[in-house]
Amino acid sequence: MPERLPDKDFRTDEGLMLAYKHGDAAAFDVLYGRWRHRLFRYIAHQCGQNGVNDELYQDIWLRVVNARQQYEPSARFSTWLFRIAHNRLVDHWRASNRTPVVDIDFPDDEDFDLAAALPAPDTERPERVAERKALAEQIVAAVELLPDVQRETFLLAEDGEMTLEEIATLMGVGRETVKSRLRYAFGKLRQELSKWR
Amino acid sequence: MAMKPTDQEIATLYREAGASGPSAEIDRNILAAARAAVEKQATPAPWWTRWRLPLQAAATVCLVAMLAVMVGRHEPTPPVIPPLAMNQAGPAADSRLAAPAPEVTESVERRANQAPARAKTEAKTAVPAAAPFSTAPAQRPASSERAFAAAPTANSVAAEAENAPPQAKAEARAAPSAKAAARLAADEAMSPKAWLDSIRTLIDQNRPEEARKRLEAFTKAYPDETIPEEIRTRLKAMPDGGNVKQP
Repeated sequence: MPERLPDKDFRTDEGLMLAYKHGDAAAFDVLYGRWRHRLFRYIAHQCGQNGVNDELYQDIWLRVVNARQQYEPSARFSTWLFRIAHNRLVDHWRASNRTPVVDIDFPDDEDFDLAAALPAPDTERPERVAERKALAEQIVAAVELLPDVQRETFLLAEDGEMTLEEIATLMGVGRETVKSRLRYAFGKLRQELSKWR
Repeated sequence: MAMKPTDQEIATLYREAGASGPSAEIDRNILAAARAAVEKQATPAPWWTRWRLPLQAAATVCLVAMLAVMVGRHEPTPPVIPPLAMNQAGPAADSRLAAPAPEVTESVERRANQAPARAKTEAKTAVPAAAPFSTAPAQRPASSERAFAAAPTANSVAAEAENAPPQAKAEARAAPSAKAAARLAADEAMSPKAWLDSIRTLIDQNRPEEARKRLEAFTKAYPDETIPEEIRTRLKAMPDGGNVKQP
């Protein structure tokens, strides 16, 4: 199944969830197809253990199913979905006595910007394709090495497509804190990437 | 979200990384569970399950009303003791079994009316632990006996009210806004179960507005937690219940 199915359903995520709430099981299939890969990636990069990933992922979707009657489209579906995922992850960390590592704020991220330049992708040449694939794998590895709060901020922004405000509400911090965490996360990723170029 | 080109490049690379998705088996399980949940929902509930709660409430009200009526009917009437029987019977005689005599009813009633006042004066001097049906001298009228027994109780209730702890009085006078602020702060640290219990408490205390507000906050913090049906039903049944928001 591709990352976001090019489904022919023109309904929004919120419309699909409402339809499912009112008994349209096919609407859930479409919605699931749209979000399965992103949610799985969010869990996989947050947790990193294969068996646990599957369990958490399945549990989150079952929670979505069970909470369908309480769904109201007051916010985007992705915000609601990732809020459930975030709560489930926090439960998991509590159960395994793991506390998220607080990131250390650097005085500024100018150092990271020095290694910022990336060439435009050239997808036509085979060696470029191979190089790009290797870089993508390095990015994923670097994401998993980020401090917990920076990683979660990055994943919520990329996989959850959430805005700074939405992330701030979900994580219970200020917008500027989220912005700062995201900046440091990208800075570190750029730094890691520069080692491979 | 505004990102520098390099950030955009990193984001693109991240999305290109082919992280493995969930297995086909997990997909099947989730989709099957979703379908089953909806099918279960579509099955109409038997009529009696829809009427179960109102019927239970009606039955409870009827039972309580019947009990109240029965207790009212069987309230023991003060026994009337003919003066002759009192003279003949010894102190151990069971005067409560004596049949009421019409000629003395009026005087007994008059004495019964005077009983509370007399009971008050007697309560001050007598031992409070005296049994209501002790083998008291036969001359004492039964109504007076009952008043005597009741007197310490009434006094103790008054004393309890007088001696209420100052802390409780202060709590009662506490400003509602301060209480609300403290409650909001407490909500942050509450588990879902404790949160729901606090909503139940508010409903018990007949505070629908606060209960509804807290319920809204709860659904925002825990969107996947199921709200018990009884909480919804009770909130709707309260005054202004029509304004209950479906969380």
